[in-house]
Amino acid sequence: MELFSFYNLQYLNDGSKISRIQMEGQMELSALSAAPARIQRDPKTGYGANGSGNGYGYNYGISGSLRTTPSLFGNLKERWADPNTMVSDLSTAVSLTAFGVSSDYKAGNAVKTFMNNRHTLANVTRVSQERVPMNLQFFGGKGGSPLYKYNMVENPGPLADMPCNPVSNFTSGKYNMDTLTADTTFYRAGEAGKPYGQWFTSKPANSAIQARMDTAVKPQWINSSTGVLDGHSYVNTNYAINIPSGTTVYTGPVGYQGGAYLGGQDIIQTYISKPWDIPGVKVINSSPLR
Amino acid sequence: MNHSMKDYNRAYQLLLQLYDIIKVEGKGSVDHYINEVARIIATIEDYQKNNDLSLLKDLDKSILNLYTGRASLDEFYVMRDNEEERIRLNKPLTLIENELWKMFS
Repeated sequence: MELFSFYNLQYLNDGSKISRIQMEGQMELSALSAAPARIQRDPKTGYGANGSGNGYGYNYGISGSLRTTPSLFGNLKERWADPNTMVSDLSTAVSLTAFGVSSDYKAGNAVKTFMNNRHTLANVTRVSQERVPMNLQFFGGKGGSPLYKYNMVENPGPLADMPCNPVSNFTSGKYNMDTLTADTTFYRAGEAGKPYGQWFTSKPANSAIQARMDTAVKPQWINSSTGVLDGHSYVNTNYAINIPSGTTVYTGPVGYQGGAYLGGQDIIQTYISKPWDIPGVKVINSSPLR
Repeated sequence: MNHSMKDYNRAYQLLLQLYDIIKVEGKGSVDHYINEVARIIATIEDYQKNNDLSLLKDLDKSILNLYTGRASLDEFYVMRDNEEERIRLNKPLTLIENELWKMFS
């Protein structure tokens, strides 16, 4: 379950701004259809790849390949490359969520609208680039189910009743609840000698800084109510932890924690309540993390 | 103050249990919370002696602030390699947290 990171790109075309994608997870449908932006390749997942060469500037509109996990989105293979060769055999609907309001949006129509708004690519210059969080969700076929069953606005779900409001650590409070049907290995980056925590990833971190930025783990946690330093999160060890079958897990995108602790739609974390209380939870491996 | 004296008396008992655990097991890792739990306990004791309602101002918030997420008491556990012992020692912490949260959130 991957969502795309999206870049807000603004272009000048013969001195005139063409259009832009709005900030902060809001994206107008009209802007989507005409925006001179493109989906970028995520270097870690490969999703959002395109074959257009140097990266910026000469592709126009939403370009690149839209690909997600094959098991979930096997039909989503449409390529929006060069507008002149654009074809549409996309059978999967795209949903755009803006401030909790979802609108189904057919990608085929997007291509059509986009082509109608096509501009010449001459003298197009990229004038700004900014990474923005975006609530672009992909549905598994027309009328399919959304990626996340729960969200902060419409249906906070079971996490909203738990102590400490763990739902707030997911972007827009979006997550799914599942029960493991087999023993599963999860990973977490933490402090030496303290293997357990409640937030996990499906892959080990490559470095301490990556763990902090991707999973939004701040070195110090200041209580927003009191302004007092509540505690520290040390990250110097990678742990692989076995979580037994039958355990309830909550999975969703990592929420932004301020500063460089980005998290993001494309980085998925899993919350497991009090794993140290669960029989069968075991540390499989630990290794130093730099 | 939004709760009955019965609630605060119960919270007092729970916080005493909590304090007994974290002052031994949490030294060096949750020192701020050890002090904070001690302060809340002392505040309730003052109220019990003086019956001064103003002492209870913001007490609910103080109790909830013990459990604010990462690096708070919500993530604190007693580390033991032996699973049975670890679960036995940590269950009370979870029960205390759940009851305090249910009472004051």
